[in-house]
Amino acid sequence: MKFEITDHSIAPSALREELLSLKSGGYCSYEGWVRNTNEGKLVKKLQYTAYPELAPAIGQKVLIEAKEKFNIIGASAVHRIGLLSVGELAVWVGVTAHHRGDTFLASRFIIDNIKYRLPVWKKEYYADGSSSWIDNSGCDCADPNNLVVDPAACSHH
Amino acid sequence: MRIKILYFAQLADLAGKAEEVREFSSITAKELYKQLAQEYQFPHKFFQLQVAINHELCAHKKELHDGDSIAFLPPMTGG
Repeated sequence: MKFEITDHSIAPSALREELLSLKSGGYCSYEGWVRNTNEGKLVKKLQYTAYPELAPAIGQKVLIEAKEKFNIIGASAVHRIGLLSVGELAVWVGVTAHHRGDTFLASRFIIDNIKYRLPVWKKEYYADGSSSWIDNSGCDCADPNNLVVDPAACSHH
Repeated sequence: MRIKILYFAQLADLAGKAEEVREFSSITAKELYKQLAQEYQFPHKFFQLQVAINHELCAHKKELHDGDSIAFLPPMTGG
């Protein structure tokens, strides 16, 4: 179980290599990319900022919870911080297990919990020169009390 | 008591700083946020934020002590 916050480019192939295991019959990864539009606006780049003394501990906790909840063998996740251009990899999750079902479920659990529990924040810079911190507080899915119950209830953020 | 306040994301932009130290005779997290929100025009209600004291998430009602750090965390938007 390894969680990392990094200001360097994420290299999925090296992370996948670290998860290889002869016990594992399946591997599933999730990649979150910087896309070029949001809410109808053209996005040029993103800035991710983290609470550095807290984020690694929360990320590690999410991986441990996934291990307790699903029958998996290994799990890793990395979240990028700093300025990212469109198309860059912002977050990576990898899970191994005896069987495919647990890899799908655990990777979904990990990315959903990372999105809503990891103390990381995203600022978008638009083609028109404006910028904005993303705010999901108007959505019930961003309520920490709801997340504990069902982190996958909302998929649009 | 001396309290270090940490600011992140939108709150850091609005405060114009990443951290500051303030002195109080006594204050709760809620009272402190109310004071800061008024001063810096923070948009969030207290209940919308998570509170971290000494780099650990904690209940909104947890007491502050001399030398503590506190951070008010807007809804996370990673991923």
